[in-house]
Amino acid sequence: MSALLVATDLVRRYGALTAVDHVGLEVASGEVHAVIGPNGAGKSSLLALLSGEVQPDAGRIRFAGEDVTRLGPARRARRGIGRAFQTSAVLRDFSVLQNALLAAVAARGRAFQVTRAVERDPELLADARALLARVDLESEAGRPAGVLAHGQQRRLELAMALAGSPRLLLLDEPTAGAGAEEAQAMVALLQAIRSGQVRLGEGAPPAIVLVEHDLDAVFALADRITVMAQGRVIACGPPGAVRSDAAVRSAYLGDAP
Amino acid sequence: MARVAVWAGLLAAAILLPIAADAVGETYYVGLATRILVFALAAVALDLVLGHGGMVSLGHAAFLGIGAYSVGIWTTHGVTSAGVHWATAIAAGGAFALATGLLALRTAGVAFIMITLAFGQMLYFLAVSLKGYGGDDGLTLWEAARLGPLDLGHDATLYWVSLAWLVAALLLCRRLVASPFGLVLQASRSNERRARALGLEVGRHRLAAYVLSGALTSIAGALLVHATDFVSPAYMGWQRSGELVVMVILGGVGTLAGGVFGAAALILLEEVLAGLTQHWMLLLGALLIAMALLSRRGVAGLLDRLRGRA
Ligand SMILES: Nc1ncnc2c1ncn2[C@@H]1O[C@H](COP(=O)(O)OP(=O)(O)OP(=O)(O)O)[C@@H](O)[C@H]1O
Ligand SMILES: [Mg+2]
Repeated sequence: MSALLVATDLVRRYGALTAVDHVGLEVASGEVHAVIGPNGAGKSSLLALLSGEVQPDAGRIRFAGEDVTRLGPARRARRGIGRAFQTSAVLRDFSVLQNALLAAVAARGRAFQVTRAVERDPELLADARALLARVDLESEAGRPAGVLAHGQQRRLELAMALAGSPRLLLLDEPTAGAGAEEAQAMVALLQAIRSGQVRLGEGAPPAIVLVEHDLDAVFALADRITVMAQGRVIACGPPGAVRSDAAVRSAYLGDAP
Repeated sequence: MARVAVWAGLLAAAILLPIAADAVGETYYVGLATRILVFALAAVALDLVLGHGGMVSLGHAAFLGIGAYSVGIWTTHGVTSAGVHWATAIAAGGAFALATGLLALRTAGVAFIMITLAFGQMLYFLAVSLKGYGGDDGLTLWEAARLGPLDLGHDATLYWVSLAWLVAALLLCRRLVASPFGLVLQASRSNERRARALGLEVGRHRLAAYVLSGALTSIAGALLVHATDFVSPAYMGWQRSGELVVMVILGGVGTLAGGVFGAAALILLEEVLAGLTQHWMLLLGALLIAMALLSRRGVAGLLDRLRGRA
């Protein structure tokens, strides 16, 4: 497998705190790469570096053979990096359908089109409805996204991130704040995305960088796991190896419920 | 469908207003109505950036001033073609919006408010320093503008021309807001982070909307001078910018048509209250607070609610 994403020696400081401390990460095409670690380990900060929201103080990021270190989030997104945030970031005052339409507009590169009303464009509408169907939200299309249940908002956000058929998905705790049932549904959805059952357009299933606290979800989904603590990578490998790693056990798994 | 009928009725009434005023001999109201239309145009243009792009500009009076001086300066040099005045207003207003927008749009929130205010005041003092064009005192124009065969010095004609501009601006902005461009613009207001993560460069949308808004507001400034035959720096004081923001809020942020209601409400209130008491500003303040408590979406929201109940 060729590496889709190669991050080397990433550093990000906030004042005296080094949130990300010389972190390297390789993600192969189609792989689900989980990143775990205790609160404040730097997982979200790492995702922000990978998505381009935050610039690193040192280190490089290559994506699909290209150096993207200096590119902003919008340009990285257009190159195929999709993103869902830790606190779900749907457009709360937009309807669910409008959220999906926005993703469809972005995916089709129509952001500057002014000639036709979005809600009368059959192509965009078809895209948007297909997106909602993928995550079982068709029946909610007319509601404001802000009033959806937490789990529904996460699914909507995931659908939006999928719209552009990304080659890499960055997911920050997709099951956080969800009940047991919702969490299971999310894991099932992610499994379907990984196996290519849920997708839009052509293209192979995306690789996924999955930041997650729920270890059941992690072990159900991950091909490889990177463990972070205090900004550093303390272990990286297949689930079996990570599970038995002594450093990991003491730093993290030991105090997991 | 009912909505379209209501708008058609309103438009028909608006078109007939000068004829009715003439019939009953109350031509004063044509001038007042023109003033409402012109400020409505500016308020609709402001709502495009404020209500849809989340850009609270407290410097929009600068564009009124640019349009006003476009007319004033050309007229003192003997050019009375409204076409030339408007083309200049659009070009100068658009250019000023582009130049200041490139800087101001690097900021957001309070910083954006302050920087637009600063640019507005800069232009205000520039106008004061234009001694050749009246400086502080302003400039009275002795020749009315013409649009082909139309004499814009004629009150009813100017009224209809202003109405045409307002309707055109409303249609244009509505269309823009409903388009993919408009959806992205609104997404930038609602959740910029999400928009960027989708690959959308929202900065360009904001800038384009700001330029269009500036150009349309400049046209309002030009029309205002056609109506008053007078140009002065007072057109672009920050109080004027504040009034425009109040009109948008009063009418309903993010509704476009609300700008029309807001302009009408503020100008009529001013007219009525100023006749009642010297302390009309106080009364106006109380009314604004009541409005804010009653309806988050201003007059437009109130109308919607009444319709919902009826
Ligand atoms: N913008 C910021 N400014 C200052 N400090 C920050 C900022 N973002 C993150 N940090 C700090 O960096 C450290 C890592 O935070 P980060 O959010 O990446 O952790 P995390 O692993 O995602 O934690 P959690 O599991 O709680 O989500 C924390 O100590 C946090 O307080
Ligand atoms: Mg986090």
